[in-house]
Amino acid sequence: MIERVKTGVSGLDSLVGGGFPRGSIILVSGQAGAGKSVLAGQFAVEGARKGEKSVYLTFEQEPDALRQQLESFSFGKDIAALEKSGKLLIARVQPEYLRLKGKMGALPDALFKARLNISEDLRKDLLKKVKETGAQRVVIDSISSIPLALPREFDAGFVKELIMDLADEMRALGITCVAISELGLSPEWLSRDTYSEFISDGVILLSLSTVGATSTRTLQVVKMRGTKIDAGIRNFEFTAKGIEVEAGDA
Amino acid sequence: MSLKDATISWYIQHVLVPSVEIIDKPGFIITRAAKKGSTAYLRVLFLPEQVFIRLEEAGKKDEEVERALYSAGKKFGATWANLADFPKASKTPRGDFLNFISFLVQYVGVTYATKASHKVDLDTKRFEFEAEEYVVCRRSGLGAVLGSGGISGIWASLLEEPRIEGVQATCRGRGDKNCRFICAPKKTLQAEGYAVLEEPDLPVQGASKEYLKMNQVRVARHAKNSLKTLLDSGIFKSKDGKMLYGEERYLLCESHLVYLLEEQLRGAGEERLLFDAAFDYGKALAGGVKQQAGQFLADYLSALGWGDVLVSKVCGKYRVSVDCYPWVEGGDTSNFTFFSGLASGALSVIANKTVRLRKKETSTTHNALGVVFEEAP
Repeated sequence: MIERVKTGVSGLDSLVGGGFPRGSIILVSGQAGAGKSVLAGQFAVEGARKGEKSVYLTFEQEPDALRQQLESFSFGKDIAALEKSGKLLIARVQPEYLRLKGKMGALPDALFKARLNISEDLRKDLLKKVKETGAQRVVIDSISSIPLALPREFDAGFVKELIMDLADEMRALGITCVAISELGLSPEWLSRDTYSEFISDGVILLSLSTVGATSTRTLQVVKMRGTKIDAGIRNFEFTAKGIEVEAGDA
Repeated sequence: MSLKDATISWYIQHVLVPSVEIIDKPGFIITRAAKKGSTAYLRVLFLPEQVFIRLEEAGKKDEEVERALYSAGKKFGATWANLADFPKASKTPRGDFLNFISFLVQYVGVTYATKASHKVDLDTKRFEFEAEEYVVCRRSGLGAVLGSGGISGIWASLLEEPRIEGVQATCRGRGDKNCRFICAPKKTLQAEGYAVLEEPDLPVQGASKEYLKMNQVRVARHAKNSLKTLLDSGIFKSKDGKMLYGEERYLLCESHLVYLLEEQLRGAGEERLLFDAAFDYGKALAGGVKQQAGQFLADYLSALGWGDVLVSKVCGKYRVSVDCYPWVEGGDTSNFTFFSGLASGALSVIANKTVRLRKKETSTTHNALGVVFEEAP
């Protein structure tokens, strides 16, 4: 019997057999403004409230900006208290490589050559925060930022290996992980890197269509290993409570 | 068929046709009409033959509808000729022009019929087009007034003579050996005893910069399947230059046609006919679909060129949002009746109740036409 963890998103659990399988990697993909960070925030806060230590790792957004965004919904009202109690950690991932790049503008050749050290630094930076807190839920916002956090010389195969290693370590630690991604540059790809959808155990696709004043947001569960999913396209809204998924599919 | 015609036919079927359509981009089908020194890009749609059969049937019972179909066809033929930048007779050496006509007849023959042939008399401005298995009338047995209009529109545009009209002299569907269309000045046709419909108001505008900009191919955000995907997976089939979905033939038409049909039928007070014809086909289309019907409909409509389609249900009511809907000049005030009928029919089967979609909002921001349809109460 697969243990399920509640997502905290109204209407989502029933589409995935009662919640995400514990210890699984779930890719949440969508275009900018589709609601990925809010969904992931609900997932993290829900865990913290239930006593599961949760870590939200952001590559690009400042933690304060994210806190402000999540606190605008009722689910985010007690973020400060959850952080204070140690149940929730919102942290920025900034590996040594990026810190150096920020200081120096360009990196010396010698650093480019130290590929393994740089990727190891990134991996450690991510896992350190996870292990230190004993997290049971982790959000990576976003997995599409990982290649950007590495020197350009890192080829796609190397980045793929790094993401696979991270996913394996998360699984081994029994962590349920939501990994956010931008959409692929071609419609058949569900992630920007084109392979995270295969590495992940589950994929949730968020869509946003804006025509004039009419915005339409939809959610679709594309896959969830070991789960009988409801793959219908469902409308969702941002309400005062956060994301709420409608019951009827199209 | 002469050796030259046979060579052209082979060339079109085996070399040209597979390369002229951009069919691998979800939401878009683009025809490239290339000629020396320029390339014209046309936003096209694959439309089900059954809808046209229904319209032709209605036209046989109502003269106003028949006139509206003829006018829509003629305006469409002329628009297509302009958009594709077909050579005008007055500006083209006679031999080159006649070669072009041979080429065009073979293209039309491959796309809309079989065994097409033609006769041209430039002095009397007469053009005859003959074919077997011509679309629509091959199944309705009623003739195709839309087709008469379409062929006369092309010929009138090439000759820059709005007073050229078209008639269907014989129809295979009625039991004649072939379908034969005659285009000539109205007086000539009347003198030969034909009842002639008339549409003297012909568009002369070619593809504007706006048309090219608004119909530019973009990456779809919702649609996953292109027509190529559906062809590769065997859901659609292409045989001898014709597109088939099950037993249904799909006609390749530049997107002005759906707007012109709506406009002309509305003028005749019969826009409902277009909605109903598309609605009934939509019902038949979704009949066999059991699971993820909304996704199926979005994929189907996107693959046939209607844009990036998202089907959802908001507060229990269907909403269909389309990004990059086929754009034509002045078309954003349209009701988008063909599309709304097709989608409404399919959703009615899926929902097991009558669903009627109506235009809610349009937008042309981001250099593309967006349209939202919502289920009427």
